[in-house]
Amino acid sequence: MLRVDDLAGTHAVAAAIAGLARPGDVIVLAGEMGAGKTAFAQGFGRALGVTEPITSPTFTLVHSYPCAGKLTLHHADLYRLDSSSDVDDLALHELAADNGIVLVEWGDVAAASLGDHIEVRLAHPLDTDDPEAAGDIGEFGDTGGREIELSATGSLWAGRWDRLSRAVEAYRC
Amino acid sequence: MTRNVVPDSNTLVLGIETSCDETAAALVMGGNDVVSTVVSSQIEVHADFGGVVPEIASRAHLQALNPVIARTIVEAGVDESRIDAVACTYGPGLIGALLVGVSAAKALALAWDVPFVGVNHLEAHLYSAFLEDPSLEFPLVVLLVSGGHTMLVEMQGHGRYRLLGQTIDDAAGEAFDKVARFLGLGYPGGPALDREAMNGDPDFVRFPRAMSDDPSNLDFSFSGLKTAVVNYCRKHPDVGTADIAASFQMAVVDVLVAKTRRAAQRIGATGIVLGGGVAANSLLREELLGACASDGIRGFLPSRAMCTDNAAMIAATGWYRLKSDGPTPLDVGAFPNLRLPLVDA
Amino acid sequence: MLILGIETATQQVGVAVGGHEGVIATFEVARGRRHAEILTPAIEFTLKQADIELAEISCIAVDVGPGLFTGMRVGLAAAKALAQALRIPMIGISSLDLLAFPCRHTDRVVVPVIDARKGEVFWSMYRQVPGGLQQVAAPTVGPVDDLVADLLARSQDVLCVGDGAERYRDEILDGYRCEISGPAYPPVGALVQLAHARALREEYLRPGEIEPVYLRAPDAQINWSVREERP
Repeated sequence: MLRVDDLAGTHAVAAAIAGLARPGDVIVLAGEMGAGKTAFAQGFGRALGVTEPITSPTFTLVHSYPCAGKLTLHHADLYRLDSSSDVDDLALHELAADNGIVLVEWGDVAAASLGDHIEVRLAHPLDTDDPEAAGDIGEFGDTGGREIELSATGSLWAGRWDRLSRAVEAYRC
Repeated sequence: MTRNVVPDSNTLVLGIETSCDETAAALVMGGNDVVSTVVSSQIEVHADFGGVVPEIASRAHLQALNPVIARTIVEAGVDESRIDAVACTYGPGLIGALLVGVSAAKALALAWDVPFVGVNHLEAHLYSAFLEDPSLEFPLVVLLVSGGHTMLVEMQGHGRYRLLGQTIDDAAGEAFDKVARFLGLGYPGGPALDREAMNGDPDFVRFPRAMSDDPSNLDFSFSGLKTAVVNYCRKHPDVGTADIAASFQMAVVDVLVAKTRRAAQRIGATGIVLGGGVAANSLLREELLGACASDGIRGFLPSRAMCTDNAAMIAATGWYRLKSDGPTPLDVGAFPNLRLPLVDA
Repeated sequence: MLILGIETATQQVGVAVGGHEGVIATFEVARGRRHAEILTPAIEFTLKQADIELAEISCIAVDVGPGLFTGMRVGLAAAKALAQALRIPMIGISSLDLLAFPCRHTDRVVVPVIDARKGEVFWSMYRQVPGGLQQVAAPTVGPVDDLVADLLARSQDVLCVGDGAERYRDEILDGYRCEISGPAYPPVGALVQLAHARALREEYLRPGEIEPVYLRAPDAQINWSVREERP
């Protein structure tokens, strides 16, 4: 479990994961509306050298961005999908296999269709039961602080997990 | 190869639109004379799911498209041998939905031996204003607001666009849909929220207006506003939905109108054109017209029918594109992430 | 009488033209995911090489699935539009019928199996009868295990064909001893041949009567309990 205090912290954690990501990776972004999935994706994309704005892919389901090198970042959103065959139609693994890294917002609802992946679960401090942890977040909770939990499905990240843990050590709580 | 056609005021273009949840066809003559237009909406099909479900949308398009085209031709009272070209949206949109229209449109062009024209849906929204008022003069500022896009575009001439600003995260329409869903207002979210807001106090909460401090910045951000609504509701579970809806809508419209005015001043626009699905929002229409009146420039609000996805704007844009670029080759596919073609500053 | 056949229900795009004199020309490319780009030029090319004008075509035959939804709809949308524009009737044929057709001379049970993705397949079963094949099991979609259980339950001498049989060769052979060979994709020539037989019986449909065979409902399957509303 990690805790960041501001938007920069979210971007730093995203950049740490981006630094260890390889072509073929699928990364699930989980968390409720407003938890910071888009903010994470923006930090992740910037770390990979994406210069254009990373906007919400809810409307067209997948946005693709050229990165440094020949890598492509695919940013998908399952928010509008209602059947796992729709998820299959997005062929996210094919996108990943073709020198791509795939970020999947709301990917946790169809995790079984996504194969090996890591999950980044974002939560607003208000979501926790510990009022102390939430602190004074202001009227709209716009301090940018949030909790981040990382987990892996499958063995794709097994060799990188230690390095990932060290990279985000500063935010551990 | 299909034969080429040089479009003139008698050229009749069949437009086809299947990029999202409306199956539409239209016949437009000379780029601005709408002879017939038919829209078959899938809103009821998707209502149970609270959003457009891509597979359901694609199935419905395949079922509806032939009858919609047949009705468009019958209503126009012309023989189909009069049709000079077939134009169809080939992006952006849902890939499965786009492919139904593109496949059918190319087949029709082949069968009738007329040109096929692939049309950019975003460009078509810019052109919808010209269908209702061909007298508009350049340069214009177009505020394009829909479920997938929020952008401020300088229209310098036909086919000449410069991007002045755009959303850096969520589209305005998406924020409407998601907040409406969160508030339990039903589907489609935009109109539902619009209605709910009529009974609320727009000044009840002052939600943040993102990116409005720097007057030179014409970009938008709505992701934080969405979060602010969610967090405010958590902290204040007793506040009424109507007040939250009205306050949220006020925040969105405030930012949209302020930036559009600034954009118009910056480029010395002759007028402001509103386009896209969110252009049907009552508060946005009212506030934008008010702003135009006080700034002394023309404000053009397309009719509500023209704000939503329709094929008349596709046929009109197809006419202009056929004139400037000629036919689109028949080996073209669909482009879910197609962007507006921009000229260099 | 000339029939134009269109087949896009699998990775393959197929176009064929033929009639009383049999199949005159066929075009098949199996590269997947480019159905919309390939199909219209393929129709133009096939007709041109066969020296046939679209205006001479009197019927459009189309593979109605089951298969991959997005690809399938490219062929169906184009076929329906052609029939509407040319004012000619249509004939729809199942992709499973097309796969089984070339195997009609075997006395084994023919089981066409089409890859339905995520570990599932579409299948049905056919037996030789005088003059062709008769379907003995209705088209089904399910996990490969269900197919194997179906084969075990019937316990007959079986020939499996199709891209699903190829993809899950090991799983099928582990569960049931049978032969896997024959066409991987629905042969578009068979589409024209089977449509011709129906055309002789005047079993035509209007474009609006052509029904895609999805077999899977687009119903909500995803657990969206996490996509919250305001409490």
